[in-house]
Amino acid sequence: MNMIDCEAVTDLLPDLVGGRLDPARAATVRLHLRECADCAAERALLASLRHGRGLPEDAMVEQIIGAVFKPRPKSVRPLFALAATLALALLGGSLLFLRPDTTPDSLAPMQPVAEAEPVGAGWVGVDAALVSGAASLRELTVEELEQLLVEVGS
Amino acid sequence: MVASVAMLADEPSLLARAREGDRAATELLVRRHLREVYEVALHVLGDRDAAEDAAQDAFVNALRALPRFRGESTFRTWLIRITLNTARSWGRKTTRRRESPLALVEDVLADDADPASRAVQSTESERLQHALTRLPEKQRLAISLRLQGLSYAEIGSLCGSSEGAARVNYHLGIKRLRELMS
Repeated sequence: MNMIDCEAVTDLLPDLVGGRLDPARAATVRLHLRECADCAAERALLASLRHGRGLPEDAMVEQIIGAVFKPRPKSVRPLFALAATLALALLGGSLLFLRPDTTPDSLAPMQPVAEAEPVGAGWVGVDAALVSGAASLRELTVEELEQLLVEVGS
Repeated sequence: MVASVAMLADEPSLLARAREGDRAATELLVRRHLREVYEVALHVLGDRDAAEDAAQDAFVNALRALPRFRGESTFRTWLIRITLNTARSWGRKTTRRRESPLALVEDVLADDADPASRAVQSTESERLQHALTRLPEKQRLAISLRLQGLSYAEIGSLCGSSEGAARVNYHLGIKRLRELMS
């Protein structure tokens, strides 16, 4: 006598198709399938769903392992950090250099930047080019300072 | 022989070795779960080539995230969750570019292709795969995940629904599939 109903069988069919049922349970389900065309049709449907074309397993595994273990490209962050440090150092230096003298005779007009004593060819060139039209970096707007950082960084 | 013995290695030790960067253990993990990951991706995407690509991406994502796997669920459930997310993401990327798989097959069958190709395309298995793509995603996933041996509770958790809803989705999906295939 079959002791299992269709509802219980249909719940177990995925496990039967997947080979996950213990032998005794599987035998009970199979017995039901012999007598029940409806459940047998459902089992056939599930079995078909599991039959795909052959997977190119080796090729897929090779690609996955290759992607996971491939050496990561060197990060470009250190370059950005270096450029940012350089830009800040240049900006800081510029501010110090162009800072108005706080002594009483500092009311004298500031010397044009182009006439400043060169400390380094690159430094003077960049500064002179970027601050043209501004007596001091302090006169630059935020946007102009950002542009300066971008240009110095590049 | 060595490979088959290695395949019997228990999952926690494989995971521990894979976390330490052991290539052989990582490869075994991939081989052990490749088919189910592929099948889940296939049932989400309904396209075999896309499913292969999505399955590979899912593994790469999962293996890179392995150090963050805390073991709150089984590795398998965690991997399937990543597969679902990866496949859905693939689906969103490709939906605009591809016609539905069903439409593509119908085009091929309508064409005067060589008989061998047509025979391959018209197998029951192909019909079934494409009928599957016509189901709502929750029903499709419930069937796919149940076929992988997940419980209704696990399916509900993965799909954001209750255990009961997962069960209903599975049975409704099977019923609809049978109608489509009759």
